[in-house]
Order: sequence, then C-alpha cells, then structure tokens
Amino acid sequence: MIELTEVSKAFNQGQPNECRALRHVSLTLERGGITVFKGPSGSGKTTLLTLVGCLARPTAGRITLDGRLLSNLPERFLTEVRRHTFGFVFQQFNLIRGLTVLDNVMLPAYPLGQPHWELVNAARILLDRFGLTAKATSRVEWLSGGEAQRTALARALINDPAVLIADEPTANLDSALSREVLALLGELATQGRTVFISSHDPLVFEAAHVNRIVELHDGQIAGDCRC
Amino acid sequence: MRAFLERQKCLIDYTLAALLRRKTRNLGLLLVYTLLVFLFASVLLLSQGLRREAALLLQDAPEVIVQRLVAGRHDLLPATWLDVLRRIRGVGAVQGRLWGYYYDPAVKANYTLMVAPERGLADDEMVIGATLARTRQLGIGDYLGLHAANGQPLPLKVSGVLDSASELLSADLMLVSEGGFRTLFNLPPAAYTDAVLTVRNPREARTVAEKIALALPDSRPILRAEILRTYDTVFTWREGMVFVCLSALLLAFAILAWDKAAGLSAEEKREIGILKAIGWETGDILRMKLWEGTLLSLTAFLAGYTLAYWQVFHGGARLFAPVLKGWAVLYPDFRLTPAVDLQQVLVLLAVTVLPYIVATLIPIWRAATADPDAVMRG
Repeated sequence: MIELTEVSKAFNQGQPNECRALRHVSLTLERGGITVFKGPSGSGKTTLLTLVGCLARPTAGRITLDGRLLSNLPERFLTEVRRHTFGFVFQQFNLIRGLTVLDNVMLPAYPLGQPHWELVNAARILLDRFGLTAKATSRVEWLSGGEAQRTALARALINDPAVLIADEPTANLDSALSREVLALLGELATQGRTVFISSHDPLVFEAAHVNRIVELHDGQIAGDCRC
Repeated sequence: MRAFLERQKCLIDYTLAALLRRKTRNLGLLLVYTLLVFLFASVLLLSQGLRREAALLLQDAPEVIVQRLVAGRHDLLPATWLDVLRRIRGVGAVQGRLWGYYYDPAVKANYTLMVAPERGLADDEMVIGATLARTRQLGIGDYLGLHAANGQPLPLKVSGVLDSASELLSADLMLVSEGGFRTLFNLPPAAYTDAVLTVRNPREARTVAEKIALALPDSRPILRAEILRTYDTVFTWREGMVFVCLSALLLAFAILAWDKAAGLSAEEKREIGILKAIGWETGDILRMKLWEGTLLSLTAFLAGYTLAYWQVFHGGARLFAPVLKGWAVLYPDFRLTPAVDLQQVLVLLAVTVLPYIVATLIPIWRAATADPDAVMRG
C-alpha cells in the first residue's frame, strides 16, 4: 500500500519561475487493480506518478510504501526501491536507439548482476508474451508505435515489479493500438500487479479493468471515483 | 562476487554497444589518441634504447681517462705522465691513447680517428666503421686518400669494417696504426692525446681521480660514470626537446577529449536520464562510462605503444632518429635491443589514459546526478 500525506512538490523553489506542481495531496493507493490519474495538462498527474514511483522526492509531506517511509530516503536507497518495486512505461516510449529490442528489455536488470543467460531467458519470455519474438534482434528505431510501446511494457516488467506506472501510455498511439495496450495492462492487473496510469484519454477511463479514477486539477485532488 | 562480475559484464556489453552506435566519432577519437600515444611512446622507447645501448657499449670502457689541460683546453699529454700515473697507488694498467678528428670535405663530415695497437695494423692500413664504409662506398682492399697535416696525400687501405653491432659509437670511426696517425697529424713521438687507466678497486675510482689531480695539477681525470651521465643528459635533453614540440599535440588532444566529454549530446543526456529512470544508479552510469573511457583509452594505448615498439625496434626508428641520435651527417644505422621499461609504460599510461578518463567522467557525473524524473517530465 502506498500512502501520501500532505505531499507537495515545487520546482525551481525560491526562484522567480517557481512552479508548485502538487499542493497538499493526501491519498491512499491500495495494491492491485488499475488506478487512473486524470486531469488536464499541467494538473500534476505526471508529478504525482514520479513521486509515487520514487523518481523524485516531495518538497513537503510523507510518502510510505507498505509502512516504510520513502520520502526521506537517500538516492541510492530510493533507486533500490524503484528498481525492485516499480516498472515504468513512458509517454515517448524512451527506448534507447541503436540497441535491439532484446537489449532494451534487459537494460533495467543490468545493474542487478543476474547471470546473463537468465536475463536473456526472462527477456525472451516477455517478448514472447507481448508478441515480439520476431523483433528481438531488430533495432528499436525500426519498430511501429504499438511494437515500441509493447517493448517498453516488456522492459518495465523485466525486474518483475509489483507496481507498473504508465505515463500517458496511449498518447502516441491510434485507437486500435491504444485498446491493445490497455488490454495488456488489464491483463497485468488481473494477474495481481498494481497499475497506475496517468492520462487524459477517454479510452483509458472507459477501459474495462480500471478500478479507480483520481482526478487532479491545479496540483490538487479534484475527485476520487471507484469504479 | 559473481553478481559483481555479472554486473561488470553487463556494463561492458552495454558500453561496447554504445561505442559501436557512435562508430565514426569514436573511431576518429581512437585514431587521434593512438597517434598521440604512438608519438610519445616512440620518443620514450628510442631515447631509452639509445641510453641503454650507450651504457652497454661503455661498460667495457676504461674506468678513468686522463687528459692534459692547457689554458683550460685539451692538449697533448707527454709520455712522461704515463710513468707518474703508474706510480699512483690504486692504479692498474696505464695506456697512452692517440685519437683525433679528420674533416672530409667530400662528405662534409668529421671522422673519428683512433689508434688501435691491438689490431696490428700497418701504417698504410685502417679499419673503418660501417656507416663510413657505406657513405664512402668503401670495401675491404679499397683505398681512401687523406691529406696529412704537412699537406702530403696519405692513402690508407681498408683492411676491415667494424661490426654493425657497435655502430652507435663507431659510425664514423677510423682505426689506424700509431705510425699512420702520427704521420697524418704530424705529432711528436712522445706525446699522446690522453691516457686511459684501470683501477684495482673500481669503487676507489673517484679517490684515484683525486690523487691524479693532486699529482698532475694540469690534468683532468674523467670517470666512466661521468661519461655515462653525459650521454644520459644528452639523450634526456633531446627527448625533452621533442616532448616540448609534441606538447602542442597533447594540448590539442586534451581540447578534443574535453570537447568530446563536456559536449555531451542531447541524445547522450537523454540516454542517461532513461537509464536512471529505469533503475540505474548514478554509480552504475559512472561505472559504465568508466568502462567506456577505459576501453577506448586502453585500446588506443595498446595500439599506439605496439606501433611505437615496432617502429623503434623493427622499423629503424625512422621517425625521430634524426633528432634523437643527433649525428650531423653520418647517421649510424643500427638496431636497438628490444626492451620495455615497466616504469616508463606506467608513466605513459598515467599521462595519457588517466587524464582522458577523468576528463570524460566529470561531465558524465554532472549529467548522471540529474533527477531521473526529468525523463517523465520532458
């Protein structure tokens, strides 16, 4: 369970261009299911996901993961939590160009020191699951949008994280591909993973597996609906 | 331990893939880097080889040479001095030497003439150095016409050519008989150029030299160690001169490396951000870049050093020989004994590899300490 208490996040603090992305957000996120964070651009949904996913620390407030306080952990420990608990799917896919699909999928596990063959096996199982076996040795720049997003999903799962965080996962996809990705996310949720999605795509809110929609506006929670 | 090795293996895999993705840029850098190491290593190996060669040849040289000084300049030594020297306690064998220089206008070079009584040469015979033989195209039985000090022609027959193994010191050497030498230079019979002597206890050489200076106040005793030191100084000075010239190249490379490192492309910065976001620590990224710098610089170092080694010891050291050997006209043609000095390798490694790695790590560290959430936000 992830609990946010009075969490605020400001960028460029103390400077003329200071921006307060989140203001006094308190929220409890249970394990399992799909939670969608919706809201217009600049509402703070991505910032909230970066804080939940240990990519950044809050300016004020507390974040706990299963009772363990995360918000004051040094970077090294925060990375440790991030790499074992969270998998990320980014809006722009953020795959590393020049590398193959297989290499991209294995990348998050490189610093863990697993035997290479084990890593390759795990990556191939994921590629098979997402229908990318034939593309394993292709460079990622040659992939279609849907293939790139599925590669990003496989990469996010290589360390077998309990929580999957997807930031605008359908933003660069057409409707058919968006439904395909949402179906995959739903499948993961069904298998027991927790999925957090930030989006302002109606296709996402209407997806069958969504359990909860948290609405944000100007860095504050404007609505919380359990489906 | 196994996990550590597996992690390093993965980092190296990624590093190699990253290097191959920027083939043209990295290949260009590798070539410039290799050239730099090649030039510096060539100078170091050649001057070190020359020093070693000189030391090997001089190990059989007399322990003390005695010269006579008149008005601070080297003058002929009277034969009576030889007896005085023999009477000094600690002195072993004493021998008067005759040597001098002869200018040959045909090749615009000086020959070094020495009397070699042990060779039993006739007064019209000589043994010459290999370079001199090549330059004047002389073989055994050929005659070389010299002009004596009294203006008379003095033809000398080549009765032998010196072994090329000693060519460093005998390039321009001409060995003649005592009679021939005295005729050529019109020298009085009881005078020598200098005297050489052995010392019964080599550790006493300096004390013996002091005794000689006391017994013969206008003498100048020269120890073998001093000659070696002089050679060493000469080669070190020449080496230093070449390094000063090469320092401009080193500076150019430093600028190139700094520019390459400091000017991280947007693509590289983006990659670092992605790696951090998907679970790499700042330390992992630094380790990966450390491998990149190490692989690149070590490859350049090994390639440059190997090329330099081949060039100096098997390719005749053509690149820096004219500067470092220093002969005006008669360049000795000899092959140095291949040898690698570990300390020298380490110094070269330290001045070429370490600065590059450090120069590349600083900007990477700056980029790697950026917040991983930048990838999500931008």
